[in-house]
Amino acid sequence: MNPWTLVRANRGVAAVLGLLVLSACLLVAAVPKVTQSAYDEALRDTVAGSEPSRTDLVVVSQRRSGSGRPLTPEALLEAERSFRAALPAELRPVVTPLGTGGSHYGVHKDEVPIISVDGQARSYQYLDLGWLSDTGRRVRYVAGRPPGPPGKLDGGPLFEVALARQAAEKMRLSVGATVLLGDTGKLAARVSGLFEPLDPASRYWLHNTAVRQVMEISKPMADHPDWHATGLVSDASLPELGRLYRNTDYRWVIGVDGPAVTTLRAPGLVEAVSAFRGAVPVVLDGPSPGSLETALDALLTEHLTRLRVAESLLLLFVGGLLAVALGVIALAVRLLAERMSHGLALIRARGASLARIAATATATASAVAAPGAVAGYALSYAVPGPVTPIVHLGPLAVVAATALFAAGHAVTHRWPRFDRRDDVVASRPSPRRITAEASVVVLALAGTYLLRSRGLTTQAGERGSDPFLLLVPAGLTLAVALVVVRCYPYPLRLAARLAVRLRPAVPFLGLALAARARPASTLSALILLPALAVAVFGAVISSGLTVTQTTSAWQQVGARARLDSALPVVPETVERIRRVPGVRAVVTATRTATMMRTDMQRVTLLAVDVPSYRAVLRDGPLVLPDAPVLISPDLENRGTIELVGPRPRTLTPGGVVTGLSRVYGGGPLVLAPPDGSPANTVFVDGEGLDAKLLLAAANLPGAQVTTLDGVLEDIAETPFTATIERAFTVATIALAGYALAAVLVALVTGGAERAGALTHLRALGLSQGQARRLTVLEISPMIVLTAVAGLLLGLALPAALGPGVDLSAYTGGLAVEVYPADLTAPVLLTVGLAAAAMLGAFAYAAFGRGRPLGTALRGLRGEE
Amino acid sequence: MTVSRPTGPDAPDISDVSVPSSLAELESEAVRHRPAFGENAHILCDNLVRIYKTEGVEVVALQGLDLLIDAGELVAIVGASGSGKSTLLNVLSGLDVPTAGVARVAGVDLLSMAARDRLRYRREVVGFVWQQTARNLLPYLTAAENVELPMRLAGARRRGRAGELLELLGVGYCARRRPGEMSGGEQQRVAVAVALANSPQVLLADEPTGELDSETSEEVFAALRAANRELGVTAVIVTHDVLVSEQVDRTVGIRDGRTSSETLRRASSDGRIVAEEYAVLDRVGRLQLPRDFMNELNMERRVRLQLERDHIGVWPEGAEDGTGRADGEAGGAESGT
Repeated sequence: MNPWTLVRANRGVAAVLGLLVLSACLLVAAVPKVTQSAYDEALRDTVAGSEPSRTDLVVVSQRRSGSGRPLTPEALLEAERSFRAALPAELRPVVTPLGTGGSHYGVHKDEVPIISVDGQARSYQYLDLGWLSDTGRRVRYVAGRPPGPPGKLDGGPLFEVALARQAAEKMRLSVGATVLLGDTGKLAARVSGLFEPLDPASRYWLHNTAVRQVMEISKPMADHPDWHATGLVSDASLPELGRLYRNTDYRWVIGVDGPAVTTLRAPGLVEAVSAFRGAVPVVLDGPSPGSLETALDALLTEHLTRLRVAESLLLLFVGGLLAVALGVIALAVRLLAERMSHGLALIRARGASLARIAATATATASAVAAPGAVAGYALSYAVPGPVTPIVHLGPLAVVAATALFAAGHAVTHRWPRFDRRDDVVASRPSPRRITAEASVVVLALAGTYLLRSRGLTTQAGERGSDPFLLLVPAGLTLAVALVVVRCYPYPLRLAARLAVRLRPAVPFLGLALAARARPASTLSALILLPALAVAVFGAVISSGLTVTQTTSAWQQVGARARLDSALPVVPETVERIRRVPGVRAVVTATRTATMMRTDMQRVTLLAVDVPSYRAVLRDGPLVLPDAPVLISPDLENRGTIELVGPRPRTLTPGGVVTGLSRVYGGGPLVLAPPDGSPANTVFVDGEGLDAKLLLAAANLPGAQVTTLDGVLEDIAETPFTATIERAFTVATIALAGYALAAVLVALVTGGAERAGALTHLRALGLSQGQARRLTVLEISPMIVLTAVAGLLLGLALPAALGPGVDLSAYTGGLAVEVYPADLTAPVLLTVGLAAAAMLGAFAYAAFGRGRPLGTALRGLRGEE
Repeated sequence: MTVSRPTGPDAPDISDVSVPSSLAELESEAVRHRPAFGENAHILCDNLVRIYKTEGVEVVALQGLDLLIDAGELVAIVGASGSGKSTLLNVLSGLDVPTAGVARVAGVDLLSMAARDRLRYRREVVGFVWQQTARNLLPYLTAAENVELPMRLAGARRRGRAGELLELLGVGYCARRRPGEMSGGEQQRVAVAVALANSPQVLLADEPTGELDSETSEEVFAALRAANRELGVTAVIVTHDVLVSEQVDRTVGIRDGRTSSETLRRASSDGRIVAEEYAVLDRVGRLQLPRDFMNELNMERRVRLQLERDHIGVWPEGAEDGTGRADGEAGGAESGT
């Protein structure tokens, strides 16, 4: 039989099925693309946010002896080419050619102290000598000329050097200055010119900050930092520089192209970097072997760890979503099969083989599913993102599942007979089915135990995700759904027993109809329940994530805004800050690093007026006990605290404050009343605080302002976190839609039988209003029971799986409170869905009222 | 039941009959002289039993039914609702399997069929028509396509066959119409054409005129009779319709899952149709007395039988001896041999 004829004959149901397949295919193809592009965005952020010296591949050779060959630019270029030749294939597409991006090479001789400049002695100053490839294109001379070939001074080499203008000014070195340098032998330099870097923000100059500016380096125990400037020598001076091998580094930088580093390439790149690390000493062997300095592999590994956590969570949601989508598709296929059942039963009776029936049903379902899948697949291309195999395979799997569901229904035509009674209450499940259901329940419980003890995401980085554990939440949901379906008749019987004593007939009739509904009607419970559970779970996790992110931000800032200054904060400054728009209250504090007398443990002392500070913290999650002296939990049970330092203090703690110590790195913290020391910290309370305005008002050099909103944005707006949040939202909306679709499809599936029963009852005197109430009552036990079970499961899932899901990567390091802090959203979600489902039932009942009774009864007789 | 043997001058003389000496001889004697039960019948049901089990409750729909129908016969089956008519038809059409007994149609044993044989049986041996006009035809196919469907399912599509059949049954003009565009009578005649599509040997119809008015019923019955007479198909029609049951050669009544009566019709010498109703005697000698006969004579639980020379007399319990003719004639029923 031509499947298109059957599709045309059942176009309404076919359209519903087509839409469901379309949405499922769109989700299954688009979500991986979106998440994959979010992962890539996160990786790009990571690479772009890191120092080029960490992300680029830098081959460093520290010279320990003079090389036999003279050092020339050509020799360095030759070495550069040999490194590139040794690059593993995976790395080649992501590195930039020489002269572009960060790729270049150079020589740097450091720790060259200045003895005198033009005869005047200098101290704490160094003039390091360096050579960089490609300088001609990277600098602009603002004074003098480029350096020329080396000369001689007092029998030692004299290098002509060019300095960055900024560095020369700071070091007070002018063009023509002759600098005597201290080394093993005699060494001198003459400044030939000053330059300014072209595009100082480029990766080339980020690699060579020491050439661009003076580096201040504080040596241990020194009271004054050393200043290091670098003078660039000419190509002609390179052989001479090569002979000064002491403290000389040769560096070849192979730049990495940030956008080319994608998540899909990451695992291969980690291995390739490791392989290259091994290859470098082989390429550059001899007395001064090379080594690879890069943190690219570490960055990628860290990214992959976070990725696995995100993937595990998304797999939970998208997997749940897909399962629910397939469930609704199965219901729609069932509806289509029922609509085709008369025709199929007839052709079966007229001599069609079972294989033919299966082929017809499968072809019909596929004829509907295939265009839907193609449309969903095509629509997914409107979503930006890399195309992974799942984008192609997902829609195929959905179509295959649809076809399989349809083929499965052919079994009902094994015997071409009709009129078999099936009751929810009376039918007894086969031992095989009970065993299978019990196995699912036991497996789900065992899986939950394993998940709690082993963790789903905590060890994902080390061990990778465990597919069995990933299936646990879905399994647990299925187990609860099975238990609900199995137990569904018992409260129904009880309710019917109570209802029979009532005077109105509608409650009893409604419950009786519900009890006598076919088992198929409970199938929608198997979809409604996971949909609700996953949606509620998502809402709980999402709200938990938001709350924890806020808590984490409060713990990192310690107020709505905090100003830290190295210079004392005077009352005038405080007054200026107080006048900044949005500021409500200002509290000053003195933060001092000190030590405990007993064991010399380092302690941060925050001298602040606790009652005033408590007022600043009143809106946040940080709670200060009512006592003048407070300590962090790690100092608990230590009795009186004696602090040493310029102002020794002895303090008796009056309470413990948790979380606040994260403001100062998480070490031991003591809050004590002010002791008159000048303030260096300002805690600000207010609304819409702007860091720039506060900083401008303070007008303190070197001061830093941290705002709660800024920190929260940093935590919450990372691509990973945003993806997880977006996935929660999409999953919740989609699940709500599917749950509604499941209820409506279930209603339509039982529509003919319900209409038959109602028509008989209307002939006996049932009014239109009673008929509508009856329909709602018939569907409500299942909806109410499923909604309650779904809500409870959704609320229990985070607690059951909580220890196994580590979301701290998304909260700035703080473990997520997975217990539902606010029940409003989940309860509203459940009640809304249940109400929408019942409204659907009511509308369905109202829709059928226009049929005259006589016509309806005649139609009914025809159907029997 | 008490049974008396006849005595006196009218009793048959059995002294010259040779008596078999052993059981084996007795058996071979029986086989030699009598054909096996229903050996030449086109449709044979012997002691047919069908028990349904619904949630632990057993419903015996057929309780040892016997039925013989010869090839080319047009037989109506009548009976009250729930008497087992439709179950019998489902068994005969291969849609249901009997629990016990013998069911054979056109030489095919319906109890021992494999799934493949059952499929072939439905394709080639039987065709059937249901009561509901809508249930016989696929609503989205035209009449011609509906007729072609069984042929295509059997893999033997014969061009022109659908048109021929529709013409034969008087609905050739409906070939391009869909069921929704035809009257109930036209739909049922197309349904008969569908049932005949693969040239079956047996046509089974379950109340084919149940939903039709008398005029349309006449047309549909005419179609069935045309199939029977012109194509030589054995036709079995389950019906409540007197118009149908009175026009067939033989009407079989079913009561409580057993055949209870048969009405045979023949044309008398003056051209009138004469109907004679018979009670059915099964192979072990059971027969069902008509309920109104029993009520009339207050027959309950036990009756007395009297074997006469050419018939058996049946008397209610407590009536006078059957030899007292006056009493016996007045208060008994007699069964001719």
